[in-house]
This record gives sequence, C-alpha cells and structure tokens, in this order.
Amino acid sequence: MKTIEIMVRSARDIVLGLLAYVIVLVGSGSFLLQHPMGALPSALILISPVIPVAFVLRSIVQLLRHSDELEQRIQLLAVSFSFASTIVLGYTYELIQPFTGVPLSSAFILPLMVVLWLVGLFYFKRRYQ
Amino acid sequence: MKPGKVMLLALRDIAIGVALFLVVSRVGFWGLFLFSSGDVLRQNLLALVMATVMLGALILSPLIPIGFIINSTVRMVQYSDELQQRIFLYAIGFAAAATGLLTFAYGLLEFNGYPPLGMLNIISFMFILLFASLLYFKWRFR
Repeated sequence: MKTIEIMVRSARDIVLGLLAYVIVLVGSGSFLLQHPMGALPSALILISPVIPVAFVLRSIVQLLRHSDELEQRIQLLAVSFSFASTIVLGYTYELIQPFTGVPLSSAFILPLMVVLWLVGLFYFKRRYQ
Repeated sequence: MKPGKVMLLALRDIAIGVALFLVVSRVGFWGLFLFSSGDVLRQNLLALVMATVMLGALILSPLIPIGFIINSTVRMVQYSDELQQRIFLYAIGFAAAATGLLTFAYGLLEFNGYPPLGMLNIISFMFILLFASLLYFKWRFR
C-alpha cells in the first residue's frame, strides 16, 4: 500500500475513532443514569469510552510510523516536550493543591498531554521551517 | 562539540534541574504553610500585600528549574543518533499513550466515587512505563 493511502486511512480512522468516543461517552453516561446497577458493571460501562480511544491511539502511531524523517524528528521533540511538561505541571499542581482545595482528576492528564503535544508540535514545526 | 559531550552536559543539566526542582518546590511548600498560618497578615494591609506577592513567587518558583529540565531533555534528544531517536520516539510515544489511556480510564471511575490516584503515583507510573518500553524497543532494534 502507498504511504499516502496509509496516511489518509489513518487520518480517517482518527476522525471516526473520535466520533465513536463521543457517542460511547454520552451513551454510557446516559445509560447509567437511566439504569443504575452494581459497582462492577457500572465501572465496566464507565470505562467503555476507552475502547475507541485505543483505536485513535493506534491510528496515531500508524500515522507516525509512515511519516518522513523530519516529521519523525519533530514528533519526537513534541512528544518529549509534552511528556516532561505534563510531569512537572502535574507535580506543581500537586504541591499547591492543599491551597486550591480541588484535587487534579486523573481524567485531565490525557487532555493536558494532548494540548501540550499540540503546542510542542506547533513550536517545533515553526522552528524547522 | 561532540555528540557524546553534549549528551553528558544535557544529563548533568537534567540532574541539576531535578535536584533544584525538588529543593525549590519543598521550600516553597513549607513557605506556603508558614504564610497561611501567620496572624500578622490579618493586622496590616502592607504585610498582606507583601505576603500575597511572596506567595505568588513561592508558588511559581518551581517553574524555573522546570524550564532547565525541559530544555536539557530536548537538547539530549536532538543530539542522539538516528536509531536512538527512533527507539526513544517509540518508547516515549508508547509510555505517553499508555499513561494517557489508563489514567483517563481511571479518571472516569473517579467521577463515580473511586479514590483519586494522585499525581505522584501517575509520575512514577509514567517513568516505569518509559523505562520498560525503552528496554523493549532497545531489545527489538538490536
């Protein structure tokens, strides 16, 4: 299969995965509100949106593998930046948390990582132009 | 400068940055406790303004070594060779994706009343995953 075909297919899978994620998230939440059940089944239903997220991540990895050398280098710098910044920002928030009184939910780690990754990607793409 | 020397310098800077971060954040933390329990703040306005400025500085002080750590990490990655960069990309990509996915799943459970995971546990988990995936991809690309 040609590289461009793989890239188009990965991009399509990412969009479809995100759509599926929104549908499953809304669906599982409203289902649990209407049908309250035990701890284990409700936990399983609550974590069900992770399945489409896994597909999205797989498509992102596929997209990365088929990108060229420069693109891979930019991605590496952006992901490293996101990884390090998430750790230090999270730790800093943990330190000031007794004063804010609001604990950082684990669900915010993934969006924080994605936002920082996009910031890194934007910065390093501009730098390598 | 040779790549080996750049790597060593970057590693040294990371170690200094981490040590500085730990010291500064701990000092800031205890400083915050001292300020928040001071009665003098309630007595005059100038002391209150000074304390607010110092509180801001204490809260933001760990961000200075953070800048050093991020800069050194990016420099270390930039100067490693192609194979090492590829291995590092796969390892850090895997660690970031797995951490994001698993913490997100647990975060959904937290909304339903499960105990919070805590950032220190998440950071340890990230490093364990990074180390394990580095070992795996190094073994795979042998």
